[in-house]
Amino acid sequence: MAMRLQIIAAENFGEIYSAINSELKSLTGKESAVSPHTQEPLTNCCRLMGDAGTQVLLVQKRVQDPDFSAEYAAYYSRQFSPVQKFCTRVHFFKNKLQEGEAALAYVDRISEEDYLGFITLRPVIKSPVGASIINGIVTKGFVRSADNFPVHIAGKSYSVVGTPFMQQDNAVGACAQASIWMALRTLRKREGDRAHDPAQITDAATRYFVTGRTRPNRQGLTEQQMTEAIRAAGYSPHLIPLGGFWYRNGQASMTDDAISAAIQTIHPYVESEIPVILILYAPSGGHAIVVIGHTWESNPTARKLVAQSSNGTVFSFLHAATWAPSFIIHNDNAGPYRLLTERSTSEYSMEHGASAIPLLPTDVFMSAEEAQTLALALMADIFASFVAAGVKTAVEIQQLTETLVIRLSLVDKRKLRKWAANNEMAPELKEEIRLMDSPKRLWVFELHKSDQYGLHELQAQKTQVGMILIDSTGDDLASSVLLMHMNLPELLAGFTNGALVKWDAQAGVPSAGTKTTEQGAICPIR
Amino acid sequence: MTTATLGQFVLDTARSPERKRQMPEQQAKEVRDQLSEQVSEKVEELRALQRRAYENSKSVTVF
Repeated sequence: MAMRLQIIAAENFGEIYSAINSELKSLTGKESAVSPHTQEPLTNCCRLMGDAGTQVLLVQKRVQDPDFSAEYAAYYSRQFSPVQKFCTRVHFFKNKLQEGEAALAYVDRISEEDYLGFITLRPVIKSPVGASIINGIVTKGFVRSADNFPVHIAGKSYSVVGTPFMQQDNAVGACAQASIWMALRTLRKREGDRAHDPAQITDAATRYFVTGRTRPNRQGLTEQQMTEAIRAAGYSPHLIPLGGFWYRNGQASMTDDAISAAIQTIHPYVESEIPVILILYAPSGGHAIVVIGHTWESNPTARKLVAQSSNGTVFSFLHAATWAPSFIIHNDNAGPYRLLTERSTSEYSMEHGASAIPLLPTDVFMSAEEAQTLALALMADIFASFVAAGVKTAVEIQQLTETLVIRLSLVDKRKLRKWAANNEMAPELKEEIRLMDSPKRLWVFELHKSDQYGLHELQAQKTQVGMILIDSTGDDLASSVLLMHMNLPELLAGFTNGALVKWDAQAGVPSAGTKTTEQGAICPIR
Repeated sequence: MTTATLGQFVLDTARSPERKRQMPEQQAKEVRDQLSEQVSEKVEELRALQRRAYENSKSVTVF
């Protein structure tokens, strides 16, 4: 029997690919050429790891992977042709192997910073990539839905910060189940231990709405079945239609405006570190992927968002998605950390977005779309009143709002208080946020100056000049605002103080105003 | 005029010699009612789309 732990020097894509294919052949007894069209995720994983500076592969054999064990129990154990019940796990390191160094000596020598993550190889040639976690540093941009996962190898502990990935194995599930699995596994630690394996996801999805055979699951799932599986796992599947059901109107794809609106709709959930399952209606058929982050463009083309005040004055703001030209996705049939651009002729793209399903916590009743509607209405009225009060002309205020960025995200109250405690801001605002009664999660609507906003790519910048905190459990929108802060010295010449307005949570009306001693713009919550 | 009430309150608070100010109850209710009226149509649109999405969800299959 082969050694349980083997070490291989592999310094580029070709060497990594060759070594992993050799392991796969030994695991499955088959050549990858048997199923060439399903090897893309593995090939792209190898490419990512090559680009990330991998030097060494540590191969862990006879791994009892819990997700594959469940697939095995549900399906493969019933097959006549023997399928192994163990997987092989390949760990990636970026510290060079010394001459003659054995696996244990290497594991004992290297540090946690050298660890880049792992791929689990299933003993199934047509879907080789099982539960895998690759460090998010392999991609540019912001991977927002990720966690820190502990990894144990031969008595040593490492960790990998990334988003779990899995290729569909349509013995037990299709892209729908793989996407749900990736989203649930990402949230597992953060939201409690509610991660289902692919077989359980299929069972939950088809418990009430069965459309055909569940094993093998080659026909996929309907959106309704997907939402049921997410609900069964303890989340609130908020189904958002994108592009006004364009695929029902004979259109081949979304219009440019609809794509822009869809990106702005999804962006707040991505910023909230919530994985968003995106349903695409591509010419090849319906497909599900998971949106986990976004790229960054320092000098973008403006993506404007319009708000109308109650007296009819129209103001334009810049949406934070302006600086996020592409989403970072896990696409089970292409690989982890792929890019979803607006349009593409060769890859899945936003133009085919049909609906989005962010996995909301069950105690969040207000959607991002509603929170944004509320905050924009409030902002439009505030700016309109600056005109009415004669502080500036309507044109001057409209020119001002066109340079302001709005960003919305769902934030845990502990994170909000920690942010207030650790960042420089008006002491009155700091005190209020740290001491106020608050629901567990709040929608935080931020207002930023745009001139330095592009520099957030490198490090957090002091750009925030206003914010609105909204009760995410609120149902009556107009009564769900908790607090508003306006840093007037940063917005309007001639002001030395800002103001914060606190709402009476019970009556749902603005009640107390506090004059604030501003310290300049604030670093936003990240 | 309600449009100006909240914004004016923000401006007055920032300029006030006092550290804290209270918004009169009647004005506060007007702000809420005006805001409610302003967002209700848009929210109803969002919720109608949502209902249509759930009706549609039985026929959209991904694989």
